[in-house]
Amino acid sequence: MERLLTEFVQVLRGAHIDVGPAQSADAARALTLTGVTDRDRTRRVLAATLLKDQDQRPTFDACFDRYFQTGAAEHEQEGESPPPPANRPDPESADSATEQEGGGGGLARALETGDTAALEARLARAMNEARVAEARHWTQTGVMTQRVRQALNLEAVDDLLRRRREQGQSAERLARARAAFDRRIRGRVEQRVRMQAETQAWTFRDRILRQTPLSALDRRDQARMRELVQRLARRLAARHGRRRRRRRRGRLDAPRTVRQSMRYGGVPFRPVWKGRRRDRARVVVLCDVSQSVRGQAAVLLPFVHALQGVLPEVHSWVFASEPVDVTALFLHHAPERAMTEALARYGNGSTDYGGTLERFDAATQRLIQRQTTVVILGDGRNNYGPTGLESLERIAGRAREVIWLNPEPERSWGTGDSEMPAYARRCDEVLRCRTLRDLEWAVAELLRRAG
Amino acid sequence: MTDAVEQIQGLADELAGVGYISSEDVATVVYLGDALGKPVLVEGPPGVGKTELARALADVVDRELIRLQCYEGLDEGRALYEWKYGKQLLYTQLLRDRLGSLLADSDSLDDAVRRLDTLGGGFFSEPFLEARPLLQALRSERGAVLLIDEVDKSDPEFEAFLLEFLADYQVTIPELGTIGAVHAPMVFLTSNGSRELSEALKRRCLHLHIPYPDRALEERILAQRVPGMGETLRAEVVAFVHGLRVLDLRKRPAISETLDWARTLLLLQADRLDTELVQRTLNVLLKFQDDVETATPRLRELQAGARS
Repeated sequence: MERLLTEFVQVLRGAHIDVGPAQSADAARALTLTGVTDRDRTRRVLAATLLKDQDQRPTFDACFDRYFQTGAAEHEQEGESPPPPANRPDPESADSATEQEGGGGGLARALETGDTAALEARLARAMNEARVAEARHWTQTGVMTQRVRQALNLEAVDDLLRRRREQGQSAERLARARAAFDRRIRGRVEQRVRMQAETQAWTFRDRILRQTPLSALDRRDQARMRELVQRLARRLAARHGRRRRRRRRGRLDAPRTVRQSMRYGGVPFRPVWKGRRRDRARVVVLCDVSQSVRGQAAVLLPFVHALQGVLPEVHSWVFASEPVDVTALFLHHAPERAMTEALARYGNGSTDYGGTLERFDAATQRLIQRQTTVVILGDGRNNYGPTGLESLERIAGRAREVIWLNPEPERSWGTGDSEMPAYARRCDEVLRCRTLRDLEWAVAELLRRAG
Repeated sequence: MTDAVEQIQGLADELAGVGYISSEDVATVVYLGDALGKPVLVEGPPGVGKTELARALADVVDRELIRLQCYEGLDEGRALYEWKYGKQLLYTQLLRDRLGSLLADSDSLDDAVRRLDTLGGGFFSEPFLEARPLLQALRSERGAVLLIDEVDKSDPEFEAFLLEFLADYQVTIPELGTIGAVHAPMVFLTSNGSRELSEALKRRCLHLHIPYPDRALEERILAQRVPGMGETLRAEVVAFVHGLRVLDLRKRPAISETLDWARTLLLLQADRLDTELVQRTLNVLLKFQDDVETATPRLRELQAGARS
């Protein structure tokens, strides 16, 4: 059982579920208490002791099913054809006993007597030796099988077979058993490698998703993406929330200490420390929702709003031909729905940066002030219309800083109707925002400044 | 081995006896937490009975339930111990004369301080110690069930402090020394997942996720908690709520909402669901106007589904 557990833990780690040694020790202790007779109970016990998060549960279940299916399948096989009694007097095994020392170790004997338990133990040891667990791709199956065969020293059995045939002895049974065992090896290795490769593939998919251009996501990926965004937002929030609340201990606030001490007859029982009070930062997002940048907008806006716990004040505006304040929409509806609605209502019409910036400037006289960070998401493609550079300059003058996120790769900035270089000169920072990874980075940057 | 299985079953029965219908998952993890002496971290959507679990367990094992509600800014002073400043101050005032006469014949300040030192712990001793939940749990004679509620609301600093406490159930008070548990408490932490808890904390706990219950379980819970309800209505209520949970809502109705609704329906003396009744009482189930609007056009369909 110990070995099974260790191996299972390794499988979990392969699937990127971190399991510490203390946790596997707990699992072992728990299993000795409850026993392993009931599959569902075993699953529950392992989940309780090894997991840290409900997010990990689907992966865990998949691993569990795969890993412990081996055991179940073998038991069934054994049930169908009970192994022949080991001690049956048999001419073949009688004289083979003398040959044992020659080669093949106990393997030949185990094969002949049909000692499943011994064979299984050997196979497991050999698979360990051959490091099948390290396989990363299914194409490695062949190599791994070969390695296991070597580790088992199957050649010695072949030698034995050959010698017997030369001496005219019957070797039929051993040959049959060997062939069956070889199939078994192949099957086990295949299953194991597939399991490894799949767990790899899941994380691989996540990684790929984070690098896929946001505009190219299909519907199926979008659900997964939403989950990723949520998780990223939570992680960023946790990280930055921590930083925001950090107090500077050790600086005594003398006036408040004296005032407080009045309650204790002038004895300063309760010293008061100075906390660093942060400025009331504010983030205003202006988001292009015209056809061309829609994909990114649909990810960015919910993302920013998921961060509302950390960022003190978030305002969102969207625009195609003119800017609209959608903060309330996001406040009252779930991000998904708010986004769909914003797109449907305001996403039509061609992009007009000139008019938008001008009206945005006029509408945000009060909103954008010294402590405000302005984030603009757009491709800066203006259909050769007015650019509204003066308005942008005025906004940048009022705000603490302006960050522009552009979903296009840098090399196409300034080509065709893109006014990006001109805009870029008037912003404090221009970041590429093509993939979720870019976005994560950009938001981390935003938090660092605004938080 | 079978012993453990029986105990798990027994625990589930006993929990049911005090009004907490648990799934097998819950009973297993609670049993393990006790057997391994580890804290249990209970996660799940709000209103599925995370807090209730600790309360029911305290009833079953007949121990005191000590609850620590976490919030932003919770610190050791509120969670662990505090000195009774007022009492200390009062006593210094009262004992002033006594101290004066005691120190009257000391000729220098140094001498006076030395003499004070010989008087023992004085104001920083047991009688002036105000035990807060964590310390109470340690000092409880018969062991306690300690519920650390909504640990995700507390600050990361407090979480780090908890680690120390959960590791060996002892705390160090500078003036008094280390205080160990008289009887290791059974610890439950609950979290709504509003913040990601630290890896270290999660690693120290057994993990239990309580999801929304399935229909059979929820009907059993309803039967237990709202006994006066007819069987048809109960089935309809549960089916309807399950239909609602599938919708894209901001706050899905949990068990507590189902119970409230069932009680409401009972008060209105309903014996079947009808659309008008549902419409009038929907705000018991849904807490956001937004959600009510989402659900309203689907009501008839949901309710028809619940009937069949």
